[in-house]
Amino acid sequence: MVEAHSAAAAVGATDPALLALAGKAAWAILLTPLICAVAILLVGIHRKSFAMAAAVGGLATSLICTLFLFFQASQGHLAVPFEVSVTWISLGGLSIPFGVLIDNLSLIMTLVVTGIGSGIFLYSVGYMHDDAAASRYFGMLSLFAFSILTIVLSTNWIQLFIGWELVGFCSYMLIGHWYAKPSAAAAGNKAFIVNRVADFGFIIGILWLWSVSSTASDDRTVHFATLMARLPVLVESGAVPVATLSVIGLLLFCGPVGKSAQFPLHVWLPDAMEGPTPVSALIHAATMVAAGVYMLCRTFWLFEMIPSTLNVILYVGAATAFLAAALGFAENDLKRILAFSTLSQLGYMVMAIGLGGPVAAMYHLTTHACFKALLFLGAGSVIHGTHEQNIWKLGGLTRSMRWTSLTFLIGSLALIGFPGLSGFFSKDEILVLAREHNLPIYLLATLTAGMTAFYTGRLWFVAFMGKGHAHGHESPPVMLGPLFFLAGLSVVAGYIGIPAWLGEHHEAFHWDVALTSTAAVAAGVTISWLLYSKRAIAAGSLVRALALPQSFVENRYYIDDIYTWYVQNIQQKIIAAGCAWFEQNIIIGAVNAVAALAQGLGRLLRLFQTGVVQTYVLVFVAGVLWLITRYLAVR
Amino acid sequence: MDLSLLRVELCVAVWIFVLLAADVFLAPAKKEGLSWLALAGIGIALVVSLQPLPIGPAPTGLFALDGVSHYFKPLFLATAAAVILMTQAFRPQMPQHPGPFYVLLFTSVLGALILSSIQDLILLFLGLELLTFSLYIMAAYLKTDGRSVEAGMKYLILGSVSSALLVYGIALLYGAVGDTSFAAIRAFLASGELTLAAQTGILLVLAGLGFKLAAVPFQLWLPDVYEGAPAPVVAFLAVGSKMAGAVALMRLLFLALAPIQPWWSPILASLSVLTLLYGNLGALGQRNLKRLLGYSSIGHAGYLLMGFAVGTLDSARAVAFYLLAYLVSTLAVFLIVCAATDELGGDDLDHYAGLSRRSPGLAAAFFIALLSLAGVPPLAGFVGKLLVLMSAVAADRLWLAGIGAVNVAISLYYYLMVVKRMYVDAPPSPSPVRVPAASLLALGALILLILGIGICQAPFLSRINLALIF
Repeated sequence: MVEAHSAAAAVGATDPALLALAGKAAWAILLTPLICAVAILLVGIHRKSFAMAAAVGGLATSLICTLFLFFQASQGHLAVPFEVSVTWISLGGLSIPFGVLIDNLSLIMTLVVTGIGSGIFLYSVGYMHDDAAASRYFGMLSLFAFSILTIVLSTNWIQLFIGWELVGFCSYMLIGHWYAKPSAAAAGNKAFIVNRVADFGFIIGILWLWSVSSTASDDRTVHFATLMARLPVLVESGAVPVATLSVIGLLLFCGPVGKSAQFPLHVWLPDAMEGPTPVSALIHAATMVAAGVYMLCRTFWLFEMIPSTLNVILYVGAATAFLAAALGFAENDLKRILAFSTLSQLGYMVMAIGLGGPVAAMYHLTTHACFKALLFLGAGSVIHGTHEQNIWKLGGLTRSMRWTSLTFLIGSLALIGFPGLSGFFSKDEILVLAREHNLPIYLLATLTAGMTAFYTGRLWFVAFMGKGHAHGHESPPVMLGPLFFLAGLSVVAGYIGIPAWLGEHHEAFHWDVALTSTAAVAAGVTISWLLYSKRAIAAGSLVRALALPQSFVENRYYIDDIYTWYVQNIQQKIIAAGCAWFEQNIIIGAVNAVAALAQGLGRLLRLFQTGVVQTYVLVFVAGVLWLITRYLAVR
Repeated sequence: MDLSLLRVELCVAVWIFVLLAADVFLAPAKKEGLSWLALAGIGIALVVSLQPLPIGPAPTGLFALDGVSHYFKPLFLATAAAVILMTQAFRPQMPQHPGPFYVLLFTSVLGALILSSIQDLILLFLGLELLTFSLYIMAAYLKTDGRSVEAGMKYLILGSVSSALLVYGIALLYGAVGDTSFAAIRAFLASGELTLAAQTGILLVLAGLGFKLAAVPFQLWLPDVYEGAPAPVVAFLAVGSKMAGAVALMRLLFLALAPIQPWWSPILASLSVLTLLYGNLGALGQRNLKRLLGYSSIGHAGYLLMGFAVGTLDSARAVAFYLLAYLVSTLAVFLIVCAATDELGGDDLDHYAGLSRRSPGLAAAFFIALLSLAGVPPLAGFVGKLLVLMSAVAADRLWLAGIGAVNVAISLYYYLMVVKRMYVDAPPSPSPVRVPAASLLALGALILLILGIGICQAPFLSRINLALIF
């Protein structure tokens, strides 16, 4: 890999004028989308063109400000990290800042959000053009942009959590955008509820960490930089045992398990494909689901100290990567195949964290954001042109939708790690890490790379080269533009020195790892070609031979069924029914009794209120006499 | 003598004469303009009151322009401005000649401004009388309305009793100390002497101020006066007059009576509990909105007294914040009441039925203001209550904080009953309620403040922390 430039080489004092300007730009990145969201939802809800212009313009402004900061930081003019913040809540012992933290990590993620986001916003203008509720859609997109930037630029745990919940809310609103469709409404609910379960653990972890973070001289804190400096001291002095910190780490990891859809809470992501496709691209592929990985990178100084938790993270990530890839084998819906692929790639990133490689995780996050957004937008273009998303009914798209097919092919090649494309480099980083630290995981990850190639090949050969009948027409330029932009990014993202920017000295290229994974990929593609294009092997006989794993995969390991059974039989019949009984009989009874008591006392007190002024004077004087007799103290 | 210390008071005093002259010389048809003239006067005084304090130690003597008074003076003036807007909106109900009303309002504000700077018992008495005398007349301003005249009369009689006791208390205290200045009283008390005469004197002075704050057992006048008096006057009673009483009490307690805090603390604590329970329980089941707000204002006095009873610097600051939150919320409520009374046909709760369908914006503003009064997050009133309760917890008065918390729940019930009337019940007529533009603008600003103070409390808190140093 080529190192494009030595990032942030000269870290020194920043020119005060530039610092002031950078502070303003930092606030502008965060707040412009919020202002646009409020404007759209308040005054633009019936003005579609205004909503579109405000949403795209707002995020483009954020992108320009981000580029400005990125340029200043990469040229060494601006010393990073730097922080601007205001004290939001300050009550004795609890101080919560709200601000913007600019460093290499947040800059790269902000670039992903605003850069890819701008492309997807623009694409949405074409995609949602005929939708009656497009204004609400764009208002929610802008609010989402603000929310995810709140996470990315956060200086502390509480701000991060607020953004975390806000993205969950926006995701819910956008998955259920076509809420008249029962499956879309149900999918929105499912995403929201599953994330609530995870966030419950997450907030307990945050509060627990806060509660143990005080030292003899300083108050408790939720501030990242302060915690980063303080925690090692606390652990060393024994004030915070490593065991406690490990449990806190596991609770914090609950957040990413929900948001980044790791096993066993991955169930909401495939259903989330009910939302409009640009939403799937932005929220459920490029940014929001990656927020969990970003959070782990942002706070890696914490996880670094607790190897046992890192191990849990490693196995959860590896399991997600492998199991989700297998789910892609049996799926027939274009977008859901991509969703399983997203799950699997998120598993890779989480696995990289577990292997102690936040840089590799962020690298893969960035390249994945490019090519997966591209794949989803391509899928959206196909759906827009054909109104069909079953891969068996699609076919011959390479002729009818030439540009969409070309960009989709580039995205697919980047996803499977075709040598020279971005996914190849970032996946390679993770595989190298795995080989160094954990051989079985390395083998599993290489196998998963082959499986990725297989399901991607299946998708390509069936939907694009197959003989289905839904042909459709090519999409308008406003949708093709972002496709070209993202295709370009998917090609070059491997060459611009992202690991170096994130502060990792690049090691020598590992030919053996690269060759092994390329061989696995080649095998995967070849098998899918033989099965689905050449049809050299009859798919039917294979299915019969693999009947048991096939049914397992088709039912998604029965995890959804287990949850449904639990909810229907245990939660509803035992827990909820018990709570309902308690409320009906105990709580409502007590409330009514208290209310009756208060009403009775009130009636009693109003007896004083005779309306006769003589009584008032009498009570007044009696009150004074009572005070004097009661409180006069002889010393 | 440094007249610049009196700059705000002088502005208001001069403007009283401007208003009198204008009232005489303006043609009857143009007297509507008087309200704008009055607003201009308040505006000038507000600008003057916002000038930074002179650097250096606060002067001693009768009157001080220190952090406390500098914090409260703009609040009194803002209240007066809101009351003038309310009077404009309330005009259909008011008599033809508005001139004397504004003169009385200015006189009353002058009294409140003086009270926020007192350093002496004589000035305490003068300020209180100046504040209250005009209010007696304003309460009875609707000469042809029997309820208004009755309200003025009751207020006058009870007010006279309280003034008599207050002045007797001052006399006793002077007899014991030999001086009326706060500094001298403080020195006397710090020397460890607490004679029976001094104690009786202090208790009588507390009773007099308790009347202003509407603390139990000196509160019986309040619901009747609130129900009978014109709505803008009630607003000034509820905000201006109560805040003036609270500032005077704050200055008295922290400047003069600080050495015997262990003695007065339990007295105020028991008054606080009684006031809280009386106000909030009494409000349940009320049918007239102004009367209900009267009981609720007694309840709020309970929280103010709780802050005083705790007696720490933090609790005094909490009271200052509480008053700010109470001010914006109550003024918003009364702006709506004043603007809507005429078109709704009265101020019973029945008149507000279905307001959300007649004027959704007005109902939403009312909703927010009421929730802020009840203390629901993230509104201003919540932070005020939280700070007062936290200061009580910090001073180990857990039982006091507990009673305060229970009363929040009780008060929520009757505030939400009003909301239920507005949002659930059917409206008697579908016509929207028209509100004058100026009132609407002020209402919008107040609602923004309720939200702003609640969500972003840090700048307000730091302002208070800088201002309140005893």
